[in-house]
Amino acid sequence: MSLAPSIPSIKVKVGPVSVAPPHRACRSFAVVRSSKAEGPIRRPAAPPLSPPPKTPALSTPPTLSQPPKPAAPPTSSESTPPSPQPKAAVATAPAAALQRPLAGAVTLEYQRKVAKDLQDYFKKKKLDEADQGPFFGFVPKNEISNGRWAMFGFAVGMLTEYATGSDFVQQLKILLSNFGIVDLD
Amino acid sequence: MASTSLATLPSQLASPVRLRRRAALSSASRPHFLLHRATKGGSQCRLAVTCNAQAVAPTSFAQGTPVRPTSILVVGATGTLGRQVVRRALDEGYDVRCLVRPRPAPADFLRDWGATVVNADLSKPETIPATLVGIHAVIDCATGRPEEPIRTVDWEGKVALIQCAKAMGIQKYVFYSIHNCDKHPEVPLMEIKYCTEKFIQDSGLDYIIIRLCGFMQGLIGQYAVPILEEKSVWGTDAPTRIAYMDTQDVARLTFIAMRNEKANKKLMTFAGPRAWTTQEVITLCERLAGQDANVTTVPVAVLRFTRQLTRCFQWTNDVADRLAFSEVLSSDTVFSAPMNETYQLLGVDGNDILSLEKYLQDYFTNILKKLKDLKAQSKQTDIFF
Repeated sequence: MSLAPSIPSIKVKVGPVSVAPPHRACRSFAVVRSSKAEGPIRRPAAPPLSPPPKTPALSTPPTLSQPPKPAAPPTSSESTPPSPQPKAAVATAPAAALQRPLAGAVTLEYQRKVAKDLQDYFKKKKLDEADQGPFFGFVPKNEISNGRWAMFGFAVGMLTEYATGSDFVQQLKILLSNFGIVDLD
Repeated sequence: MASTSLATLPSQLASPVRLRRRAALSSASRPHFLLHRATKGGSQCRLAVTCNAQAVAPTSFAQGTPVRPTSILVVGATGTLGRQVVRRALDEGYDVRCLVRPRPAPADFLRDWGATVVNADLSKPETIPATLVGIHAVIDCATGRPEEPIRTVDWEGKVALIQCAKAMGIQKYVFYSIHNCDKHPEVPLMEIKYCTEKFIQDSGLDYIIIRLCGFMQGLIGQYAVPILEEKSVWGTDAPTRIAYMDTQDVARLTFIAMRNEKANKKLMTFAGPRAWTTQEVITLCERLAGQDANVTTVPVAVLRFTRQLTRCFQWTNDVADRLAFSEVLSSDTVFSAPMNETYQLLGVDGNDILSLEKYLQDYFTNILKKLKDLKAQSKQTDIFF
């Protein structure tokens, strides 16, 4: 009954550094140890600012920004810091350009228009985040559920052995006999 | 104990290396990226100006209503600091709008004070933009509740709020951070506060970032009330000193900083006049209350062990994030900062800041007077009013 205690690990999803559409972005996973001495520091990466949506007179749809990246392991932490800063610089220029024709004062009508566009943007972003990932396959949700079921099976097996005295082989024999597959008794 | 002391050394040695490396990378790669993006930004700016000058200008003069500079939005208005910010803003004549999470017990005291309450939730970003219409400045006092993850409200919600503020042309953004949050990357809340500071500075907003050490209001419920009720007082044996500050003073200095042009795009630290340890606060409460306290001391090692235990399970990870402050307690730091430059910048006299002795003395005087008025039965028989 001696079971070696394993170090718990957390699976962290790493976003790509290059700007790509969220539905086509390939995602890789890295196992991060939860121990403070062994694992990397879980640093949340700052997402790029969403550019302000343009007025309907321009007849261009508002460009959506990349979803915020989760915490990155140290292998990609060197490439993470430079990525949000140029995007912030890009977002600043259109905002200044949009505000400049308004004689320097922000108006209620402008804020209402931007608020509606931002609401649509966040709702679409939530729908995109909910739709990504297949139902089957090696996705983190399925792997976590599989691991929990495995732990549950091990616990039930060991508790049954402790309660009834039958070892694993005998439990298999009892199962096969009760189901009527093979008559082993 | 030797293993724990050896374990803390690598984390302390690792954190400045990471900070230095990241600073070097950002400084080295920044001019290249900025030059590369500036050309694209310039081209987009040129196109946007030619299009908007003809379309938007007539509508702005005919239908535009400018946003009043006195309209502010307080996020997290029901908290310890948020309510004092709302109170101070209403006293100074601002039009205050409070972003309150929809909950069974509504925040009626904010409406009784005269503030406007709007329902929104930082964990649902689509509810944020509507609350920012007609707002000139945002004061961000929000934080997550103990029963929910830190990341949901303090990071993802704050990022969405900053994005909305940037897009909707908010003129000023006030953010409250934690003192020394860049020196403790192993604590999740401090790490998130530091990343939010960086995000605000990179976003181009006009900001004021205020780092706080601790509040005096929390000491009432932790130490003063249990001493008066003769219950057990829970404290730690940590040598960490915290310079507590009254939330009313924090709110007063915040609005002075908002009206001061020199405080624009500044990172300030607000600290009280003197730093106190837990044992010193308990001793002060005992002296002012006139009776001894039943002190139960929790060692920091027990907190650290509990944190390691709660990190092993997914459902207790939020507890482990909250218990990460035991790393700060064992690091023997002083949560205080010299305030002379801040007082000179804001034009505030340092003697006007309330000290902890005065604050607790006023509290005990008032509460003992109320007990006398109510003719409360006291177990102690030698009280002389």
